[in-house]
Amino acid sequence: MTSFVLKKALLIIPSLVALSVIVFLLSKTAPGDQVQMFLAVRGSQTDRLSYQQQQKVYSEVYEELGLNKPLFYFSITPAYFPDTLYKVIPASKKNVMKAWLRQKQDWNWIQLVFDNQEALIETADFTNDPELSFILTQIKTIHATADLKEARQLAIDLKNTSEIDTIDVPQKTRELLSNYLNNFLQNQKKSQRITAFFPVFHWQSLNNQYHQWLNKAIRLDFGISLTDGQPVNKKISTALIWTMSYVIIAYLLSLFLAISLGLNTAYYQNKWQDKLISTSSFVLYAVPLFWLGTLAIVFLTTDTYGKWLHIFPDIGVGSAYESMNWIEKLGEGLPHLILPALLLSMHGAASAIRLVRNTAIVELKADYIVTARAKGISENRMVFRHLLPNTLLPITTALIGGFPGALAGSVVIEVIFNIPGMGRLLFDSIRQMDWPVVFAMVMLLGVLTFIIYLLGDILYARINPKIKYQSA
Amino acid sequence: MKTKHSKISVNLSIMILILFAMVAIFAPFLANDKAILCKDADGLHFPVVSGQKCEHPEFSLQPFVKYHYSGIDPQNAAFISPLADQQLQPGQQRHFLGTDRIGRDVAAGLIHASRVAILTGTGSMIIALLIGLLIGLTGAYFGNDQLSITRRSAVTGLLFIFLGTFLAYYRKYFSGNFGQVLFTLLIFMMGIVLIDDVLKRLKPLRKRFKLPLDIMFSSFIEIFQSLPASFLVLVLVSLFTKASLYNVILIIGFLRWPSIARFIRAEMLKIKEQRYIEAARAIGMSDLRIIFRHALPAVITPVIVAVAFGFSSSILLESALSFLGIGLPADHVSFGSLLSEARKNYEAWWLVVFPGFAIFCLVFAMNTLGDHVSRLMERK
Repeated sequence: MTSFVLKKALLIIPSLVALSVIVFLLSKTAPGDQVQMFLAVRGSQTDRLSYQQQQKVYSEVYEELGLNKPLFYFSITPAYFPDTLYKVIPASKKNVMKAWLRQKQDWNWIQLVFDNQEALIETADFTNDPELSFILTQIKTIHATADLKEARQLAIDLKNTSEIDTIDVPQKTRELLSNYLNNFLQNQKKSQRITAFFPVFHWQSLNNQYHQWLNKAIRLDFGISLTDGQPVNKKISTALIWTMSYVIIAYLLSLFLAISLGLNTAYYQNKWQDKLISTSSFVLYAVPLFWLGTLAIVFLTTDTYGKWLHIFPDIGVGSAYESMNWIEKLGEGLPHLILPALLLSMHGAASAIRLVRNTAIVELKADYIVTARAKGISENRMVFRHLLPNTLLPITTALIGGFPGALAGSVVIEVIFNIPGMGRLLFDSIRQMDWPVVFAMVMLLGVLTFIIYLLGDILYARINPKIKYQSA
Repeated sequence: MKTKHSKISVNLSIMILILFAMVAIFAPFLANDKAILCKDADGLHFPVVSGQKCEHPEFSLQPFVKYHYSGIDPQNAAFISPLADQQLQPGQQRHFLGTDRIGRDVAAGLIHASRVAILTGTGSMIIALLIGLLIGLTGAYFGNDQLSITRRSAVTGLLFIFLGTFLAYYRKYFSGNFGQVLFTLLIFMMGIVLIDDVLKRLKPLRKRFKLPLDIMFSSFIEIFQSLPASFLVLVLVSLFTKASLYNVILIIGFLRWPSIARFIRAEMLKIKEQRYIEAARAIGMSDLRIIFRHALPAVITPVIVAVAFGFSSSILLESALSFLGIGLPADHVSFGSLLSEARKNYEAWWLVVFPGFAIFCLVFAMNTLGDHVSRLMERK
């Protein structure tokens, strides 16, 4: 037993590492510019700054978020592909570079053109000359166009329409400008390197983003949220308390319903009680939770369809009581949690009742029940002392299996009832592309899932002595 | 030992499913702002198929609902009840299930949503079935000590997997360079064959080892199943840059295979012990032939059960996603998105009742059938 548990526990570690790598790399491919979001949260006004100052602020935040480091310990790319693309800032520029790279496999050319453009803008930004400022805007547009053919067309137009030689600008700027256009429009020959598409292995350093994240995550520091600058840990723990407070009610309620109604139906098999409860639980099982929730809020929480139907308080626990401690918060919020807990427990009980019933029917035919009855013990004692313990195993399995899911919070319920729990937090973070929060939640859930499964294995053995784990 | 279903409920479920399938197939002919058949001065047209307009028809055959699911009726915008007075022009059909916030017809939306639901269920189940069958059958058949391979072929196989992953990951960068990519591919194939040939000569690599396929697959299934699906689907869907129904179908299919694989694995473990499989092995049939010609037909019934339940849960996942408005295009119409409109206006009961009831019917019918088949299976 001990060795079995140890072995399982050891298996958790590689699974978690794999999970973290997958989610980390996936979250990096997701759209959105983290730096811009971060700047917006801080309320920094970057519009009024000059180009250089903007660049400086951007690169500072970029470094602060650790984005100037390579993504992972190593990378494998096609040979023509630069392995230093992560150093390019800002994200919009990186995306255009990537798009151009896709169309023209010539990294040197792309770098050259971008360098020229930057040099030009640095020297000539905030010019008073209308002609030059028009040209600069055009050039900025060119470098924001992902389609290389379109960008080239824009450059050709620019060269043909504007008379660079006649504008009154310093000699240096003029040189830079013509240099830029010449470089951009130089004969576009595709790189003919035969090995261009061969996979190449680049070893990056240990000082990479994943390593950095992992180092902090081991010390349970998941960074700060990109949307409001709060620590991720604090956001998650607040949400967890809200979710737990109604999930625990729902869990206890559905456990009670499942055991009492399940045993009842099994005991009165094929009588009217059984038919009524079994049918209604089967029907309820097919009712989507979000329909149930919407039906409840539309019909039961407002006066719209008559005062007599306004049974439950208005939805939403809100965030108005930030200043209260959590006991006061619960006292204030609990009435609003009753309806969601009720719905969730009904939904959970629908499948659990069937599970208990099916097990109990089999058990009722077992020899030990016949013996107990022959001995003449009361029916109540038979059900509660003999039958109940033996039906606990499958329901334990179901409950334990469903726990991580319940902890993740029912996203739809929390969105419908406006509860600031885990599901709601996930929903909001995903919509706002707040990856640090999403990532931390996935990891937390992964760890919990594995631990709960391990505990489940141990618990089975405690409940049912017949189960013996072999450390094969 | 499962709940008994009366003949009526089973027949009713079959009828519901046929109805939904029909509606899904013929959706454009049932609700459209164009006529199905139209005869004018130029002759006979089929506007639904050809997209032509039919200005002055001598005779026309109109669809059941004369609105397109995305068509906006500005006169009847802002949640018009099916029972209320509607601002109708002469010849215009009544919105007999009401309209939503921007004036789209709910009946047309429901017809299109049935199509989306059936498409989601079918598409994701095909994906889940393909992966689930492969993993469930082979994992259970070979167990932990039936499949032994040489170290050489393990190395070669890993090389191929690496190449495939590489190509898939950088696929965007390869498009448009067909010749060069083909060349690279060719070189690499040759390289792998060459390496394979060299490895063949090395003695330690000729050693065989047993692949614990069942442990590998079942722990994979366990990990996959233990992570909450609703959570996972949200994260995965949000990582796709493009919001589209096909991405969602793909992801749901990918999340649903473990439950199918587990079901098939359990069945295959029983079938494996049957005499006819033993006999087939004894006469020296190849493993693949045994799996696909002899074992596969025997797992059809459990597959039907797993698919029926998987189908309904895929539909539920998709409509939950469109209810939340994540991962699907903004103009997308499905049961979930119709239902979510009701949250903007509590007075719009028709947006709560009809779409929700439609999902319920579909899921109920699928569950009943799945349950019924599994009961028949147990009785055997």
